[in-house]
Amino acid sequence: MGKNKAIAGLVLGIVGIVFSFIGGWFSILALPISIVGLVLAITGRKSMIAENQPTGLATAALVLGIVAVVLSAIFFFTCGICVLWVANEVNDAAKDLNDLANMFS
Amino acid sequence: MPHELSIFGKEIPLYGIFFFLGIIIAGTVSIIPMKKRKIPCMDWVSAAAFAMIGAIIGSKLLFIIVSFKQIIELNLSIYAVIKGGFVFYGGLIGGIIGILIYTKKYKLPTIDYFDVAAVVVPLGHAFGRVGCFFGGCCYGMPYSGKFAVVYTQTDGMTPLNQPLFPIQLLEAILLLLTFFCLFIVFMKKPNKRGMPTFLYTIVYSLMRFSLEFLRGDKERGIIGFLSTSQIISISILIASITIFIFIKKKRQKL
Repeated sequence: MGKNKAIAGLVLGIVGIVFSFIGGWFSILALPISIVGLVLAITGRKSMIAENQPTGLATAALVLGIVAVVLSAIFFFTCGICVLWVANEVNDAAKDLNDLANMFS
Repeated sequence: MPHELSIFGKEIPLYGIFFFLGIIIAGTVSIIPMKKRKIPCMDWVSAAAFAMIGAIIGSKLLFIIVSFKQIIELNLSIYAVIKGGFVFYGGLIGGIIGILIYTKKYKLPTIDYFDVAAVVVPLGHAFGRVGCFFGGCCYGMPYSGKFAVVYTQTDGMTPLNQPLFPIQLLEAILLLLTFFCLFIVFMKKPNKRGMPTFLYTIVYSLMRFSLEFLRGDKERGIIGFLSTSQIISISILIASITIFIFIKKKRQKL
């Protein structure tokens, strides 16, 4: 049980890292995939300790999961609420253009 | 003002680099208080990972809550909402919940983990604020005095070509001071369980409440005459003092 979780965590960690580098919508998917992988790695490792199994694989999955989460956060997310400001400006510009068009119609 | 670094041909925001540096440095320093409280290394790493997950989810959720009206009014796409916007207090609350979930699930002494986190979070946070400085977010009010900063380019909402108060750097300095004080207090009395957590919540909530008056980014959320973060600061201050009094009375009864 623990080993299966650790393997799943390892695979998802690798997928998360790859998706982080691809960009676009893959970058969005990278974070939840990496998070699930990290949780599986941690809980898998705990289960393997309880089952007296060697934990090397789970530890590797844990490290990879942390790297995947951090990378996906760094590569994709912007700071603050910049996106709201940009959307606001675009909206205001669209309204100004609309008003201008109405003036000449 | 540089806001990106080119690494292997990929442009990476300095904000993200400083966020990463903060995690690495705070994580490394946490080894010292972790050993003092005899917390097993892998348990600490796992709890920190849960805290990190909670912080990411919490900071994003709080951003959505405080910006909900604007998100609806501007008809923002899901892509845009997911990509931009985090609130530190959401991250703090999410991080606390993350540690709680891990320590309760595996029956570990929660307060020890909180105390170690309380000592090193200001250090990581300081780096994050330097990242904000380079990113141009969380900017200060208009200001023409010494150390004023002028942005000539930005990824978002920072007013350009206008001198602003370097609030991000001031907060980074104060957070570093907070870290040094908490670290010294912890090392002098390593077995005073709960004290670092209590001190951090009190100091940071007071600091944040005060610094908010020097912020210029109204987009962060204002309710009445207080910002969202000021309201959260007051709530955390009241909660911390209440919990402290409750625990003290409970210990006196025993």
